[in-house]
Amino acid sequence: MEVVAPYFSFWLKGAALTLGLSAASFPISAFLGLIVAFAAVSPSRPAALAAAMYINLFRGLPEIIVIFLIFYGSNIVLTMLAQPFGIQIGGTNPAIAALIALSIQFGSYAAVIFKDWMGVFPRGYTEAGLAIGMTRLQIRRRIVVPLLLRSATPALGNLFLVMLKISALASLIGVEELSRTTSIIAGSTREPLVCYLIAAGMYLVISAVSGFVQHRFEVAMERSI
Amino acid sequence: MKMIKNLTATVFAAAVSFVSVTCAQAEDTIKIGIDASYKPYAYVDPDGQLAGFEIELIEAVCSEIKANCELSNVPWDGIFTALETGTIDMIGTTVTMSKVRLEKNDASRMIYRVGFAFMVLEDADTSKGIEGLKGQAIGTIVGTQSYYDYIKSVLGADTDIRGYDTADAAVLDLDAGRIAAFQSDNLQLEQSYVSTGNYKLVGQPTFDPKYVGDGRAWFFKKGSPELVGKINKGLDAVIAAGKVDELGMKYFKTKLVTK
Repeated sequence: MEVVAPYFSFWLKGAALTLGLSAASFPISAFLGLIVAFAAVSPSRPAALAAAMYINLFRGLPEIIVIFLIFYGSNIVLTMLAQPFGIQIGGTNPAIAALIALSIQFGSYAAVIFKDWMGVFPRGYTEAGLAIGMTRLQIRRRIVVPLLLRSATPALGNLFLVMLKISALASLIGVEELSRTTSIIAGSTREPLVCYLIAAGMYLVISAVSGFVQHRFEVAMERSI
Repeated sequence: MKMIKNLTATVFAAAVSFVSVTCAQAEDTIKIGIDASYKPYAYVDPDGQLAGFEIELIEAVCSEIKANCELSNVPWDGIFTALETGTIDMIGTTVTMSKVRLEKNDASRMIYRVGFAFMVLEDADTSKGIEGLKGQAIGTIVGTQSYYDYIKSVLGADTDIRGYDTADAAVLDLDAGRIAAFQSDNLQLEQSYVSTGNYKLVGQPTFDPKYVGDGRAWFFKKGSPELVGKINKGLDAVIAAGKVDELGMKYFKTKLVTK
């Protein structure tokens, strides 16, 4: 324990990056999910087809493969694009690659959540909007989206917790988030068991905090009705 | 919520600053990836800074050849992929030069050779040297074929060899008298056990390439002779100046064999 103690500030940086990575990519994936869900239920066939392809592709691929493809793939593409101009590009930042991969991947899960809620969305609300002369866009922005977000909050909160844990895969491309920090400290102190127990504690604290935030969010949503 | 907003802002700020740094990168920057989670080879000190034998050696070589080196901490699992895709130019972790790896990659000159040695309790009788271990139970790391071959060729094919998953488990049995000696690589034995004063090596470790292979080196993408030449020039100078011996004493408490 004494050996591990001096590493706490390094460790907390890792924990902050884990939380930050999920906190940054979650809104993106929720937004992406919302757009894809609207496309999936739209009367336009190409849009619906594209949405279905996106959902099936990323729901079916393992996160680790998407992370690897985006990180290493973008490096190869960047190098190839840069070569004719004789410039050298430093390569993608692993944290950004992980952010993009998580956002795209979890966008597909969020899209399914929204799409399911749209399926049971009462027709009367839309008709009421039309009756008072709102445009389709206004109905979406003022009626559909707020109600969807409210009903989907529990499912989205669940998705956020999954994302927190999946983000540990970013450690494999060198993002120094909580998992990678822990394995570095374990290797630097030769105290693996203590290190992984402390990391488990940190993950629990992070998910407890996000559970609390979600709860407050739900309460606030209830009141706003 | 405010905390999350701040964190998000930090992540984005870090990202933006990274992108601008990489765009400004000069052409002569050498990107070196190293898995800093193996003490004492390479690890992270409590301030989050890279430290260890390999880190100091890289810094010495880079300042020798006046190159601008950019070190990053890359997990071992993905380090060869990172090399192949150009994420890094060189693997700074010292890697054993196996035939398979040399077919796919370029390597620097040998940096050091890891020897094989037998370790016994401090009060054991070693007057007869390695010969004195014949007919006794020997512990080693399970699944490391080169260890088994070495033990059999020096102590006889019928030697009672016990395989252990970890060095610590073997040393526990050495303490308990279940094995007469523990055979492993000399760096690990000296640094982790002999340095405690409770154990000693039997005779001198062997560095015969017939047993221990071709030693460890830094790895590069296939077809980068220019970079390899530059690094080798730096390595030759640094080794000639005695830097590797100095670092060996500092981190492994033994002199490293560089020939």
